[in-house]
This record gives sequence, structure tokens and C-alpha cells, in this order.
Amino acid sequence: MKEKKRDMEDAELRELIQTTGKKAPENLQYRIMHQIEAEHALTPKKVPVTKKSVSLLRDLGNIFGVMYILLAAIVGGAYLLLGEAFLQSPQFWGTVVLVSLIFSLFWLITRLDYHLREKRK
Amino acid sequence: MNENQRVQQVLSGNTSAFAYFVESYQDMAITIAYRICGNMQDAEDVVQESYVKAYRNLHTFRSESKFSTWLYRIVYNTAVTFSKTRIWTGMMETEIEYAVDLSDRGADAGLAERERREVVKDVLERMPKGDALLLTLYYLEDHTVKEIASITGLNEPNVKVKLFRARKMFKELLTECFSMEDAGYS
Repeated sequence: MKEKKRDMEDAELRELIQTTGKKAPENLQYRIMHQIEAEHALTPKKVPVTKKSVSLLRDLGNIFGVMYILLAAIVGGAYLLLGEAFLQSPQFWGTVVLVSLIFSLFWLITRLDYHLREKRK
Repeated sequence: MNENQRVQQVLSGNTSAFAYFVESYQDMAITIAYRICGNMQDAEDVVQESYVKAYRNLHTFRSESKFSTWLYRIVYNTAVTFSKTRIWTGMMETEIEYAVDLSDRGADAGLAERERREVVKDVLERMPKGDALLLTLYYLEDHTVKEIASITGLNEPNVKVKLFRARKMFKELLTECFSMEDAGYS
């Protein structure tokens, strides 16, 4: 009985309060959508994924390109200044290996730096 | 198409899909904002800001709750911040002890529909903002206590207690208004 009375009261209250709902003005939806679209247009677009592989190849080409140019210069210089016999000596091969190691290390550092920067992003 | 699919559409870059949410919930959003701010101009600004916030944070929406509940929570928080007022006040709590049973009265029978609407509107405006908001959420859109708790950040028992008090106060003020109408003070 008590519950029935409460239900009746609830229904009455509901009926009364239903009349108090506000209606949004007609231009509000336009205002909201306009702001959202403007914001969407101004948001910087994501960097395309292909850029990553391009940058990777460019680094590889740049570093090892310079390395091969330098090695060619060393070989040419040694051949012209010290003769063909020097090219067979351990001293010459030691220099070649050292140059390769330095450039490889430099490339590794570049990759590590790139990786850490990506991770931070 | 359900709401989650629409959310996915918006997240994939189709901003116009968001219009569905604006169209569907703007009336209730403005009602909530109006209850807290007290005027339409501020309520419109609050609703606009809330929708933009919802759009920006749409990726954080989890489908565990309804989209409307999530949105109304944003509207509620934005309105409270905007109006810089405490909406849960203890005022008038002593007065509600003498609330009169609404169903016992037939006074509303003589009131014209428009007058009755004005009286109800007036009563809600005289009530503390939080209480008027609870009644609006509970009776206007049939939100459950759990949903109201989620929107307002109150816990469920607290919502129940406040709702009970709000209901009593509403009835008391309404009776008061009707008595004034009957006595010719309106």
C-alpha cells in the first residue's frame, strides 16, 4: 500500500518535472560543431609512418657513404704515396678497420639516439 | 548504428559523426547546466565548452557506462567550475520536516497547465541547486541512482538520502506555492 502510494507520488512528480526541461537554442548545435571542426582542422596531422624508414635509410647512406669515400681516399693516398706494398701491410688494414669501427659506432649512436627520442614521444 | 560505433567513427576522423551526440543530448545538457549556473547564457557557454572537452577526450571514453552519463558528468563538472559555487548546501534542511503529502492535495486541479509549469519552475529555482539537479536527473531522464552518483561524483547512499530530502522539500515548497495561489497571493 505504502509502495503504491510512493509510486503514485513518483509518477506525479515525474509528470510535474517533465515540464521543466530546457530546450537548447537552435544555433547551439551549429556553434558546437563549428568549434569542433575548427579544432579538428587546426590539430597537427600525425607524421606518416613511411618517414621513419626514409630517415633510417638516409642515416645509413649518409654515414656509410662518408665512410666509403674516406676509405677510398685512404686507399688512393696510400697507393700513390707509399706504393702497392703498403696496401698489403697490417698497418694499412689496421687503419681501415679502425675507420670502419669509428663510423659503425657513430651509426649505432645515431640509431640509439633516434630510438630514445621516439620512446620519449 | 550504435553509440560505440559512432564514437569509433569520430575517433577515426569523421567529426560530423559527433553531431549525433550534440543533437541527442544537448537539451538535457543545457538543463543540467542551467540548474547549476542559474541562467541560460552561462548554461549555453558551459554546454559548448563541455562538448568540446568531450570531443577532445573522446579517446578516454570507455563503453562501461552510457555515453550520456559520461557527457553529463563533464557538463556537471564544467558547470560547477564555471559557476564557482558550492551546489551541495545544507540550507533549508530543517524546513522539510513539515512537508505535506502531495497526493493528499487536490489544489493543482484548479491550476491551468501553464500556471502549473510556472509554479514548478519557480519551486525548482527556489530549491538548493544540488537538490533541484538531483530531481531533474531522476525524474526528467529517469537516471538510476547509480548513474546519478556517477554524474555528480557522490556515493550511492548519499544520492538516495539527498534525493529523499529533495523530494520532500519540493513537495513542501509546492504546497506552499499552491496555498499562496489559493489565498490569492500569486
